[in-house]
Amino acid sequence: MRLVRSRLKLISILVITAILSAGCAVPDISEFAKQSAEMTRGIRTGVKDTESVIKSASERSDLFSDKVRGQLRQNLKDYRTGMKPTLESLDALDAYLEALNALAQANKKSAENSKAVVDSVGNLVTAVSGLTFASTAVNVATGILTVAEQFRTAKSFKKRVNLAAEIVEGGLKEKLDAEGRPILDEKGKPILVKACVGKAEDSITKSSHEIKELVANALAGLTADQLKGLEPLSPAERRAQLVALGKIDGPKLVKLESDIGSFKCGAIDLIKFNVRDLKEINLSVSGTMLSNAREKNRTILGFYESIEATDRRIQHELETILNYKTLVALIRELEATGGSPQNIQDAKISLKHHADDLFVSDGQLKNDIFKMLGGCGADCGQLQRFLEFELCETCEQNFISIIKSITKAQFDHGNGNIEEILEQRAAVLHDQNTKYLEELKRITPAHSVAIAELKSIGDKQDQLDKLLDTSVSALDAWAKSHANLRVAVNTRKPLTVGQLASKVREIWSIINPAATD
Amino acid sequence: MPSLEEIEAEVDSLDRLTSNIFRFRDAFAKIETASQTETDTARLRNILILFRDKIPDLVAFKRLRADAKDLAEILMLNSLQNRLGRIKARNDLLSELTDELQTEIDKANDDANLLSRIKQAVQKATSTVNEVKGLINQLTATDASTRDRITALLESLGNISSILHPENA
Repeated sequence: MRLVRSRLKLISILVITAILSAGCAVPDISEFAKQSAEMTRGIRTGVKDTESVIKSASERSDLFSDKVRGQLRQNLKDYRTGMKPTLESLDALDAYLEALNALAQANKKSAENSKAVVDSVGNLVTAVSGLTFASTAVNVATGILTVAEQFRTAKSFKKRVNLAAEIVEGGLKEKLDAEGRPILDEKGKPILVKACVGKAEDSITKSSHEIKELVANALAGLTADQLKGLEPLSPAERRAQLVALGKIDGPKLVKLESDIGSFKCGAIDLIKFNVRDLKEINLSVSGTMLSNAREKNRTILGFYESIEATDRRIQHELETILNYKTLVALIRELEATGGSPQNIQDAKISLKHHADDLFVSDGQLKNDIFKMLGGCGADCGQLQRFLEFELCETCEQNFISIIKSITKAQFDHGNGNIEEILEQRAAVLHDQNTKYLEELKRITPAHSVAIAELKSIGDKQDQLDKLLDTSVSALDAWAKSHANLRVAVNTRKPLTVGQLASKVREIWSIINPAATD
Repeated sequence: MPSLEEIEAEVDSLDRLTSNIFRFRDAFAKIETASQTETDTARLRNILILFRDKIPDLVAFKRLRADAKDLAEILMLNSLQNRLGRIKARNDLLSELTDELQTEIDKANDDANLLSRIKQAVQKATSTVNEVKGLINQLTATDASTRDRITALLESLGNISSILHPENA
C-alpha cells in the first residue's frame, strides 16, 4: 500500500508538472492591449477630425455658397452613418485584446494558484503517508483537474488567436512565379504571402458596391410583409433570402462574393481602406477651403505681395547704385595708390556688370545716362561704347581694348556725371521705398489676419493628413504585432510590439505636439 | 486630350503678371475636359488649386475665376460623395468581420470567466488542504472523531469539480 501511495504521489506530481509547463504558452499581452487601445483612440480622433473638417466647411458662408453648404451638410449626415461600422470595428479590436488579456491574466493566476494546490496536496500526501485514506487519490486528481483546466484555457487562448488571425489580419495565398506555379522555400513548402494587396481595395469596393445595388434593387420589388421578414436578418442572411425569393441573380451574387473572398481581406485591411478614404476627404475639402480662403483674401494678399516685390526691386536697385559708386571710388583709389593694372581692369569689368544690371531694371536711368554721354563728346571718350558693349564669352579681348582706350581723365569725368545722375535716381527711389514701406506697415494687420486664417486651415489640413497617414502605418504595425502574437502562442517566442508602440507615439505627437516637445 | 502631365506643365508655365487671358482660358478648358474623365482626382485637384492661385486679380479674369471656383467645388463634392460611397459599399463586409470577431471575443470572455471560477475553486481547495494539515497534526491513532472529520473534508475536496462545472453539481 505504501508503495502504491508513493507511486501515486510521484505520478501525480509528474503529471501536474508536465501540464503546468505545457500551459505556459500564453504570452503577456498587456502591452499589446495598451498600445492597441491608444492606436484606436488616435484613429477615432482622425475620424472625428475629418467630420469636423466637413462640418467647418459647411458652416463657412464666407467661403462657400448656400447650395454647396447644403450639400456639405447632407454629406456630413452620410459621413456620420457611414463611419459607424468603422468605429464599431475599432471597438471590437479593443474588446478582442481586452478579452485575450483577461484570459492571459486569468491563466497566469490559475498557474500560480494551481502551483499552490500542487504544493498543498503534495504536503498532504506526505503528512498522511502513515494513514489509509481512499480519498487521497481523489484529492490528487482534483489538483490535476484544476491544472488541466488551466491547460485547456491555454489551448483556448491559442485557438482564439489563431481563429481571429484571419478575421483581423486577413488571409494568405501562395506566392506564384511568372508561370503561375507556387514558389517553394528551402524546406520545399509553398511560400505564403498576404492576399489582400494590389488591386484588392478597388476590386472589393467595386464588387461590394455591385452587391449593394443588387440588394437595393431587389428590396425595391418586395411587399411590406417580405420587407418586414428581412429586417432582423444580417446582411449575408438577407442576401441569401433574396436569392431564395428569386429577387437576386444567385450565380451573379456568388461570383461577386467569391471575388471579394478571393482577396481574404481582414478587418485591419478594411479599416485601412477607410482611413485612406478619409485622407482623400480631408485633402479635398480642406484644399478647396484653403483655395477659397485665398480667393476671398486675394486683394490684400495680392497688394501685399506686389508692394513687397516692387520694394524688393527698388532696394535691389538702390544696392546696385551704391555698389556702382563704391566700385568707381575703389578704381580711383587703386589708380591713386599705384594698384595693379590687373586689379583695376577687373574692377572696371565688374563696374560694367553693375551698369548692365541697372540698365535692365531701370530704363529711365539708362536713357538719362546715355543722353548725358551723348552730349559729353571727347571728354568721356569711349565710355558710351564701354556701357553699350554686350559682354559675351568670346569677346573679352574686344572689351579689354575698349577699357584701355578710355583715359583716366575720360573715365573720371564720365563717371562723375554718371554718379550725379545715380544720386538723383537714388533719392527718388529712396522716397518710393519709404512710401512703400509705410504702405506695407499700413496693410500689415489686415494681411496678418488673412495669413493667420490661411495658416489655420493649412495647419489643420496637414495635421490631419499626417495623423491619417500614420494611422495607416500603425494599422500595419498592429497586424504585424498580431502575427507576432500568433508566433508567440504557437512557438513560445516572446511577443514584441515595439513597432506598434513607436507608431502610437507618433500618432499622439501629431495630435498633441506641445505635449511631446 | 492632353495628359495630366501636359496640363500641369501648362499651368505651371502660366504667370500672373505676364500671361494673357487666352492662355489662362486654354489651360482651364483642358482642366475642365480632364475633370470629366480623369480618375486621378487628387492630382487634378492640385492642378486646379495651382491654376486658381495664378489667376490675376483683374476685372477681365472675373468670369474665369468664378468658373474655376465652381469647378473646384464640384470636384470637392464629387470626391467627398465618391469616398463616402466607397466606405459605405464596404461597410457590410466590415460589419460581417466585426461580428465574426465578436464571436471570438465572446468565447474568450467565457473562458476568462471559467478561469475565474477555477481560481475560486483553487482558493477553496487550498484552504481545505491547510485545514486538513492542521487537523492531521493534532491526530492520534485512536482519535476516531477527528479521522471522521478529516474524511469529510477530503470528500468535500474531492467534490471540488462541481465548482468548475456548476451545471453538473
